[in-house]
Amino acid sequence: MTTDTFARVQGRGVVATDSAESVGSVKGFVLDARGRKIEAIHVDGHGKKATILAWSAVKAFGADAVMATTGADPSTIDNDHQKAAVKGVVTMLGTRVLTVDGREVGTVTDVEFDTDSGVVVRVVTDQGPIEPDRLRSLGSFALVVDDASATTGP
Amino acid sequence: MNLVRARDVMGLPVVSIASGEDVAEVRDVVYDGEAHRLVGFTLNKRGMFAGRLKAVLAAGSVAAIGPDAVMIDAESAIDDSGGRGAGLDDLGAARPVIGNRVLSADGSDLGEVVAVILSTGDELCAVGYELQSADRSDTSFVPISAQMALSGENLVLPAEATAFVRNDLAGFGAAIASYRSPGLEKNQ
Amino acid sequence: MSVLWWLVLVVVMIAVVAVVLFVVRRARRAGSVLASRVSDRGGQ
Repeated sequence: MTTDTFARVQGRGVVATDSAESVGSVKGFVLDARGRKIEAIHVDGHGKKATILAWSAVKAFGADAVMATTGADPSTIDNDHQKAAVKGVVTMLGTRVLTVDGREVGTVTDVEFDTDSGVVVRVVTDQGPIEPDRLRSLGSFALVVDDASATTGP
Repeated sequence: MNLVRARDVMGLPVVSIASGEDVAEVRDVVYDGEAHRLVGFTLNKRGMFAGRLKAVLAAGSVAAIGPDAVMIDAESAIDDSGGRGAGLDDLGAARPVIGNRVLSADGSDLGEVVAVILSTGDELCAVGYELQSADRSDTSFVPISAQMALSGENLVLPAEATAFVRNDLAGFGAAIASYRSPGLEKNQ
Repeated sequence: MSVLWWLVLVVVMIAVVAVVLFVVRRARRAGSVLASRVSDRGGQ
């Protein structure tokens, strides 16, 4: 499994495989509601006019450039979840981490993901790493996670 | 046991575990001083200049309370039908417990109630009162029990509860872990 | 020189208004431990 991190890929160019034209650069990510998988990459534009490239349209996430599959075009955002992500309202980097017990346990400093599947493999915080199976939801206020020492509940 | 003063919950954000959003902020703690029961919370909208929320949060709908937030399973845990039937309507109609004098079963004045102590562990409920003696020099924590007699402005602490009175919150938590036995009326 | 004094006065007035607004807003949002109505103890 090859992995990379959100902080490291910032600004990396996104290129269309067929035309070799630049489609944009990695500006941010749209994740699923739990924060466990990348749904799309924010490649250009701001706010309502932002363009994103769906993860399914990513052919290869290379060390120097991200290759988009042939014929894939970035699309404009079309729902509130994507809008919140591209505006930085709902985002991993810098967000507070809150446990399901109501305790703040640091802020996210980086996110490591699998470059093939787009699945988050580890969330790095200033108070230690968090395994992806602990992620409950990613919202504008916090990344909600299960307690570290949680024993299986009822 | 994880114990907090009721007033420390005020102002905490109410966060949905399902969405990670701060859907509200705790305004008042609603307490039934005659049944010695935590009923729930009234809410404010988030934001320094925002007003009240019509919705209320019943104690039974809280998933957890921590030092930094009150957690609910999903936004639906907040009830915006006006709190009817949950004991959260028509607030202020009964006498609040703060300021009541507490007497021991043998007639000594233990002080007046200055805070309600909540347990935020597996079950969210009121477990004790913080008392301040008449001359303001001593603080003590007494357990709530179904047998607490109430008359006028006085609460009477039953004899079997005196063994669990402590002067510090941590010691009190340890002491009442054994006192809160089955048979005590619990929050629904 | 009088223009400068007016400017200072305006700034101070704005600051005072802001502080008052802030304090009033904080007070209006303040909560307390409230008594609930005891009637329906069994209902839920």
